[in-house]
Amino acid sequence: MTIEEFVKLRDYIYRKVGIYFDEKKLYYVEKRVEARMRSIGVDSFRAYFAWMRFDTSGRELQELLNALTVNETYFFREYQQLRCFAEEVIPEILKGKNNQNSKRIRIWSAGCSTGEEAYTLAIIIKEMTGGMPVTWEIHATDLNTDVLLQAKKGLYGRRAVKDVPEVYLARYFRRMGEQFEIRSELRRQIYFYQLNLLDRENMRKMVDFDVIFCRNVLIYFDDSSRREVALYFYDALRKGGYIFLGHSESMSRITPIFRLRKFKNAIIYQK
Amino acid sequence: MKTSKVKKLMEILSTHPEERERRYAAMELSDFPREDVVEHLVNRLVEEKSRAVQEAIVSTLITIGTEAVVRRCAELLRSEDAYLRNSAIEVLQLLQHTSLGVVKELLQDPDPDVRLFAVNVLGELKVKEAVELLCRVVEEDEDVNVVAAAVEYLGEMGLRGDDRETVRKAAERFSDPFLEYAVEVALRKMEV
Amino acid sequence: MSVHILVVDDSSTVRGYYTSILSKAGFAVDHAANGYEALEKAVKFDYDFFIVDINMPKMSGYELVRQLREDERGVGVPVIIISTEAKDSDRLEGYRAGANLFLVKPVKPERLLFLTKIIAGVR
Ligand SMILES: C[S@@+](CC[C@H](N)C(=O)[O-])C[C@H]1O[C@@H](n2cnc3c(N)ncnc32)[C@H](O)[C@@H]1O
Repeated sequence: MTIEEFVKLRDYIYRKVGIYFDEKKLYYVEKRVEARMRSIGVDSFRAYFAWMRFDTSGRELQELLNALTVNETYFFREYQQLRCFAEEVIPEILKGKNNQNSKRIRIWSAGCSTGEEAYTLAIIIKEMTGGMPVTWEIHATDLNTDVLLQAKKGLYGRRAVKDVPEVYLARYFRRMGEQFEIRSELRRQIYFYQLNLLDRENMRKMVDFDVIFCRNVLIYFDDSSRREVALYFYDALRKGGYIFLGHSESMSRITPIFRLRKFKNAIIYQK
Repeated sequence: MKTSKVKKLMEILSTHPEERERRYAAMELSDFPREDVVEHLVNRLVEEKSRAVQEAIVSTLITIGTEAVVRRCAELLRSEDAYLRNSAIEVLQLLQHTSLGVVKELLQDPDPDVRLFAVNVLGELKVKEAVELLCRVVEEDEDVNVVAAAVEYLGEMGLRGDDRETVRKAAERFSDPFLEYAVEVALRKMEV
Repeated sequence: MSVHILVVDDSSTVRGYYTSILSKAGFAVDHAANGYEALEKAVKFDYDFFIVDINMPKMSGYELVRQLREDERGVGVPVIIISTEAKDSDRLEGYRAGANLFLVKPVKPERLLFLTKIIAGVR
């Protein structure tokens, strides 16, 4: 792949989904494009690019994106933040809903990858609200359709569950040989579906969330796409709703519209 | 059809009581990179009281990214409102190549603050012409702060022999401890 | 215990310049590149003193100072604004926002040190 070809493809992907590959990623992108070319049997980049763009179903673009996104994730990632969510944020949300008869919590795991984050949140909410008159639901979305399939299956290897506390492992997973299957009672309350965070029409439908987790996703975006997504998040939150970014990420270079809240275990952004 | 939709969006952006509606109207206008839309967006950016709506307008201006955006944002550099000034810089920085012409003019502005903004935009431009322009600033500008900013950017770009000379000479032109510090740091960065 | 200062400026050279002056004199210095980042740091750590630029992306110095003053922990913290903006209207806005002192760039090392010491109440 020449640098010109790389730039053409890079800009195309950027316009479609906001992920930005700089020149240093040429090799990374090239390897994956070559694999895609082999699998559909075209032998020039030009032919491939044309194929992808004129495939009105968008299937090849999706396949390529599935190959290009970084999907690394595991259960109970960034423990301190999750503690903050469990011990400080959830009680605050419930308190805020004190005058409502049926308390309903809505959570969004944006960029959920293979689902570990969403299931982790489900475990936490279940633990924290067990026995209370509270209902909850989790929306878990990603751009990559392959990871969503895996997420729905709910089947994980040892590595993914290494940070899950023993009690929870026993309570919420079913051991199947070397694998661990999420119990169906958790799975029922999570909706997995595809959503591109830069898809304005569909982002607009996301409303009334109490909390959004968007951890380790925006790092792949460039400045202006980050701001755009942050604005959609702002509109998707209820007044007072919270956003969790990855612990090395910050809104400070994205947009100043969220309030900063200091909790014992983390700093969280609030609408 | 299209025109009436644009009209409606502009109307919502300026009068709708719900912030959320104004925000989405602003974002949807990014599909219409027309001069009158840009004009309206910038006017609303100035008038709008909600920061979140203003941020949506900035986001749309960046997406539209035409000459008209650059020209209108350059005018905002003289605004009394610091948020507007700094948003304008951000837009100009992100619109890199489109901004170059306007930025060149701004380098000749009598107001040193405006020249400083121009240098801030140039510093983010990754083109050869930006380096040449920054060198000229370092050699000719009368304001220490403007020169120091140009020196900082040249240091970050990591440069050839004669650029080092240019930077070194700047310290002699003014005798100021801040500029001396800036030159020292830039030369050190250029070494590696 | 040394005075903990947060220097807020989008120029790394300016941040480095103040730091080199102040840390030699025994101040502990930390940085932020814009007003919002400064607020984020101020929520995490308690600073004793702020040195703040005006023109910065995302959140200006004025807005930072206003927001600092709104929080009870930030009401009495000394703030010096140091900017290239030198008009009377800029000074006025700076003082209205709640700055203790408004200086114009570039600042000489002795002057910065002297004024910082006076305002921070150290000799
Ligand atoms: C590293 S994973 C993060 C998983 C999980 N949130 C965590 O922190 O462990 C990043 C995910 O973001 C998704 N992603 C990247 N760009 C996206 C976009 N434009 N819209 C939606 N999801 C996107 C990728 O497919 C990937 O699954």
